[in-house]
Amino acid sequence: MTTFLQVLIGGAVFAAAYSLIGIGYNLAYSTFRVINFAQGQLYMLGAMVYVTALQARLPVVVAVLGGLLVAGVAGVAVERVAITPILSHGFKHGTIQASLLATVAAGIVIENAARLIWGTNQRHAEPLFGSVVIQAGSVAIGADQLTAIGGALLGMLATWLLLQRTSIGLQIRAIASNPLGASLQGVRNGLVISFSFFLSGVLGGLAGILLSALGSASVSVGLQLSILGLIAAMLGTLGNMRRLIPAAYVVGVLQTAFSTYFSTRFGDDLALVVVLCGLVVSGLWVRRARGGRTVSLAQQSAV
Amino acid sequence: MSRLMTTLRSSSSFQRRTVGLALVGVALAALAFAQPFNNYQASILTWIGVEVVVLLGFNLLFGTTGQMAFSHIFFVALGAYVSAILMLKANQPLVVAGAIAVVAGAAISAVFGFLLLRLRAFYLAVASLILPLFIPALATVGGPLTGGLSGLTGVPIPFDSHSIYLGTVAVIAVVCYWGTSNLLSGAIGRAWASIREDEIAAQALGIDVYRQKISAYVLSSGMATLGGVLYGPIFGFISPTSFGLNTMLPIVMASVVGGMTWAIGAVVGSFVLVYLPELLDPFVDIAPLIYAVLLLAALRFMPDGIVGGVRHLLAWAKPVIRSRTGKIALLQEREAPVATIGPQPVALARARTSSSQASLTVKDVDLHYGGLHVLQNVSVDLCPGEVRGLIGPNGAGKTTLFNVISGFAMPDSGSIHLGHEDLIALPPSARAHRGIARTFQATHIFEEMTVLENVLVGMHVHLRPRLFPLAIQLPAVRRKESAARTRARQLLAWVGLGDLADQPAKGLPFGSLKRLEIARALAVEPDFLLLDEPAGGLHPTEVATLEHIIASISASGIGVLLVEHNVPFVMRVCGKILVLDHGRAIAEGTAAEIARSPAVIEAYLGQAHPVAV
Repeated sequence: MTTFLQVLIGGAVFAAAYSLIGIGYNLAYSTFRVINFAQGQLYMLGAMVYVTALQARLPVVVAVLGGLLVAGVAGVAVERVAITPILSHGFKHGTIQASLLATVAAGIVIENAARLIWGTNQRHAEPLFGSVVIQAGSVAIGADQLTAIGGALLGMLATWLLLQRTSIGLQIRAIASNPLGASLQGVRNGLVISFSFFLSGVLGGLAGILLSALGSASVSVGLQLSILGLIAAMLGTLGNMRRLIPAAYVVGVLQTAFSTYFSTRFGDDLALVVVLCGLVVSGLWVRRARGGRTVSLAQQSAV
Repeated sequence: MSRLMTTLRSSSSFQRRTVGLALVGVALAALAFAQPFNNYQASILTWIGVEVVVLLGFNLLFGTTGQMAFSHIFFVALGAYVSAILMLKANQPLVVAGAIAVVAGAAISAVFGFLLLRLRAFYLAVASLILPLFIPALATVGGPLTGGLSGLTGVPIPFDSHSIYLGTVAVIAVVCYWGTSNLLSGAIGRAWASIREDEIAAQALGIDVYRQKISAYVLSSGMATLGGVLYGPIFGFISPTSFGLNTMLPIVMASVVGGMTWAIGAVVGSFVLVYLPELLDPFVDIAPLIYAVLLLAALRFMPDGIVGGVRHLLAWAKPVIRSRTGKIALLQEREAPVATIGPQPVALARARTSSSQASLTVKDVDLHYGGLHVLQNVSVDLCPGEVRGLIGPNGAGKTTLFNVISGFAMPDSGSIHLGHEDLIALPPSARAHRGIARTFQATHIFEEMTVLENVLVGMHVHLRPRLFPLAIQLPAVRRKESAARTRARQLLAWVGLGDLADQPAKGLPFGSLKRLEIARALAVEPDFLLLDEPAGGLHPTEVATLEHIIASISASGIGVLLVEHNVPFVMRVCGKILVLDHGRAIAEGTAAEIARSPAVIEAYLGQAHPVAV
């Protein structure tokens, strides 16, 4: 029972990261109909900058801000180099597949560039709160774990406020619902889209900072986070912010459970396979619910 | 020599390809047997041959059908492992081991294709990650059989000769290339490309999208398995690290950089795939970086890859003038100029037995979208040769009724019969096979294809292509194809697009697109044709042409259901007219009767005095 509760808490920490990364996917998908698969690399950048700054004895605030800024700028760079120019350049398969390929490539560029800077070694971060552990009955929660969960919730709340209560948020939502209409109403689409990628980068970087404070960071963590964050976003339906958090939690708990109860070596892979199978099954189920054949497809665009 | 050239020039592209590839195959085999290479060089060249097979398979699924599945590398691994195990542990020769592996790969891919291909394009890309992620775990579970994470060594090379093996692989690669090119240039290649371009139009033309995707997936995975079988003996060593997502990326890169919609692109891609790491040897640490930059650059500057780039360059250097003027001038002399229709082709409707006399009966169809009652108890009875108008204000449910009849929308209740056959449970493609064709309000044209190919996709129902006969180009297949091409040109000439047949459909003016869609729907040889606003956005002279076209269609015995906002036009061409408003049929009758109906005047025309007909 204790182990199980511990798994539920450990899952929440991962879920914090996946939902922050998932917001990035959802923003890119709903504003631009693209997949930004470099999300996990932005996480990595945030983590590496933060850890390096701490190791250089810079104040925590500087380290955090530095990590967020670098990740945000990298997010804009991905958009400016790998997404916008390619979409305006007629790839046969439409925007989603083109952006998937281009951002996979962009992610590899980031990872390899980072490897040239930082090397391949893991870097350990000083825990912010040392080894403070909060004991609740038989269950132990590290203060840094709580910080990670709380920080992620704060990040999500801030994003929600930004999207719902500010002018730039309104502009992002306007582009999401109708890009042409938005630009005709005076929204500067290019700038707003770049801003939304900056925001995705900052959120990815935040996830990286929060989780690296729990242990270590290395330049090779990006790909896995890209995949898991994307799967969380897909499980919650791409573009749907409300269902993202429970979906991310499912992925996080499954991952923790598999590596706790089964081999640690393939735990992550097995969890991934289970979630992917769930995705396939839910895909099948959705289609059947709508009449078992191509009807849903046609209703979207034949009319 | 000059006679040979003349013969070659007058022969079909299939004959040229066959002769050319036979020569290439013989030359490669001879070169290999002459043993000019050392073992290392031979291995590298063999590897290129293997990658040609792997990439041909990937391109036909990704490039042509537009389905990106990362499971490709799993089937390469499957082929390599199954054949290596059979050779090492059961002492089977490569031929037997390879055959078993390929059959197993095809069977497994059929199962996974059945599940995965229900997912839309992008979800497929992510869900197909399952299989490659399994590889390390499977290799570990396999224990001594699969050699765990350290893999298997000592995979034997046939005849113990790298040169003979190179020659064999070269011949296999050439045969695969030949078969794939035959497929891609034939009816199945067109059907797959139509799925990539526009699944809805493909279904409306009778292509069973799901089944075609599965067959593309199985063929693609089968070729990946074959590639894996051939890969093992080259270096005699396989391990899970040779087949992970990290090896899938270079394959995708090579596919895009080479040119993923052409078979020759796979050849170019495999040279890039194998030689690039050789060239990059001093920079092996940043090889993935270079792959990624290349992929980005290709996506940005050469979305059609090297082959596409070269083709653009050739087209630019040798403009249409030289290659086509002669032909175009000739065609124009013989055929009617654009926008006036030519002589009627042999027959618009297919010669059919008693069933062609059947009528299309839609009875009491009811449909809700959420709380919106889109169709309420609508009934239509369409007879052969009749032109029935369907009018009503925007949102009256006209297009929805079309979707119900053509199978794109499922009504909550009601029935649709063709003669005595109940159509309600049939998907759109099956209804096209039964003889119901349609056009779309916003045109659904396959833009990356030529005008002629668009119409040829409509012939799919009659060509009924099968993989194997098409891949080896049986004489019967070639006869049917050439007859289909003749008929497609006749149809195009008839709607006034004869001289544009070989032009890309992209960039055609709107009026021509509308006529192209009609020609494509007629290629199905339907008994009933549903035209969704064919006159919308047309110039008055084009409308006159259209009137003529519709008159000829109905004269040939095809029943036409016509949705149109151009009321005078509808009143001229239609015998009876059905008026819908808010999903209900409010009037039905001749033009004069409709014009007098108070309900119509109130609902549709919105004014209190009758309209002049």
